[in-house]
Amino acid sequence: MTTAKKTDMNNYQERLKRTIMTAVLIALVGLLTPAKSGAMGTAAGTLLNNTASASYTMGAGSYSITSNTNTIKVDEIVNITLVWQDALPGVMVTAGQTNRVLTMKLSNTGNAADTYTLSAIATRISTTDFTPAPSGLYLDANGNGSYDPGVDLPYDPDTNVPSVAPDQSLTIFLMGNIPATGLFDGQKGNLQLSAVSKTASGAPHAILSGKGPGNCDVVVGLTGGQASAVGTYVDSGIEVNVLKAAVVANQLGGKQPVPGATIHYTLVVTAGGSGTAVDVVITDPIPANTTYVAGSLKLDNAALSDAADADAGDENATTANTVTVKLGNMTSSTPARTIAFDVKIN
Amino acid sequence: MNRNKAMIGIMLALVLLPAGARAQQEPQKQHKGKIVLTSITEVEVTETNAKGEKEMKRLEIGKSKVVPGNVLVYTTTYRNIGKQPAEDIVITNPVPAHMEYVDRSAEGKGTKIAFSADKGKSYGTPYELTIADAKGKKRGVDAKEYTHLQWTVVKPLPPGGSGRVSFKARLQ
Repeated sequence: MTTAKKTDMNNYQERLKRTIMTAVLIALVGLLTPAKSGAMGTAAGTLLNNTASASYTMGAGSYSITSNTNTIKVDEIVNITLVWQDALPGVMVTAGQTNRVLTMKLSNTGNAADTYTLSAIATRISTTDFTPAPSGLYLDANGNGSYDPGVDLPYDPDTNVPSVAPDQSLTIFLMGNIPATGLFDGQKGNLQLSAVSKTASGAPHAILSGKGPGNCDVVVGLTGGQASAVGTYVDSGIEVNVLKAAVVANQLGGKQPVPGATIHYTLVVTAGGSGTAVDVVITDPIPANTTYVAGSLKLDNAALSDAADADAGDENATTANTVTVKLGNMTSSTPARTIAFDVKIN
Repeated sequence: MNRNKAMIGIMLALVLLPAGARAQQEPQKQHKGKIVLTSITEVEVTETNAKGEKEMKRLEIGKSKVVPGNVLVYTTTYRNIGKQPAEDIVITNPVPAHMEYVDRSAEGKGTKIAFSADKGKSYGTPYELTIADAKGKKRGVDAKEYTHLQWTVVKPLPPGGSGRVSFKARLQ
């Protein structure tokens, strides 16, 4: 027999805090730029031919002739850009979080394919910034702009380097660990990602003879073949609170929690403090020795289907034997959200 | 580096056929006149001179890189090495693939200049040229869309005479 107790509620809140603080990336999707021919430049190694022709008359005859043919090989120019993608003011974090993702877009703005060396360091913009620790670099292998563990593999300078065709982009996920203590609400911390072309870098206009496709020359463009971008974390003082209540009604019309009785749970969710709790997700396992009453899940008095679908919640779909409800972002001014569901005591 | 293949034009040998000659006429296409056509390409670069002013210079292909965005200058020289005047001289130059004609860059003293936007089927002045869109509606042509240039030399070219035509195009 299970009843709702105050200690359950405290455990609940602890679990909730951990769940809620898993904020989802606000990543502007780093779409692969579609390749337009010539958009960023004629491919290095391309041969340009020019031949003039002429016709004329002399005396009674008409003649036509052609000139010699000039052939020119297009050289390679190396240029790159790196742009941080997350929405300002930055990715919301709280103390002690690990592997929080900053999303970066690396673009090859030259005219030949290139590979890159990456490095990341913490960097301080203001004297009050905290210092995150770089904890990982991952390449967006499936090009969907968001980090997919197991699919997007870690950067490795020998075995997994970014390789980008001309006029294309690659999304890179830079992860950092947030210090566990000493943070104040609104405090910022920054990580800087740097990318350097493995083909050529350094002073613009420098030339590497014969190192490009078709033995054309390589020229370092105005970007110097390197780029860096800074991403910012913002410590968020937001806290999400859940007040859980249980009302028992048994088949005899009484309130004793006997087998067969229904427990009606309500969870009232609010956010307090400053900042935004991003993509709040409430999960509540069905207590042991009870069975969820199918179709009883409600959010703010509107029914939610039990299946995982377009609505905000499900039971036993996202996680077995668990109610999962997505509430989106919440701030201290967000009105309280009420989740309700019933279980029957076995 | 083997980018620069700007070779001097080859002399085209020919037999001058006077009017009314009793000699056996060879088929027309084997007769070549005595005009030599020579093509060279240069890269136009902007440099800052000793006074700090920006200058445009033309460099031989071997002396400068060629990357997207660079402007190339194509110059064709024609010279009459025959013993008779050459008339009705028309010089044609396609805008090479991957390149865009630079508006108002065509030059040629003593010539009338025309452009084609339909791969040489028809020529006209910039104001005359039209392109039909997918629905058949006609519109004016942007200089970047020219496919060919044509210079018509107005006066006969006397023996020993020469002229020069040129245009600029930007590498896409």
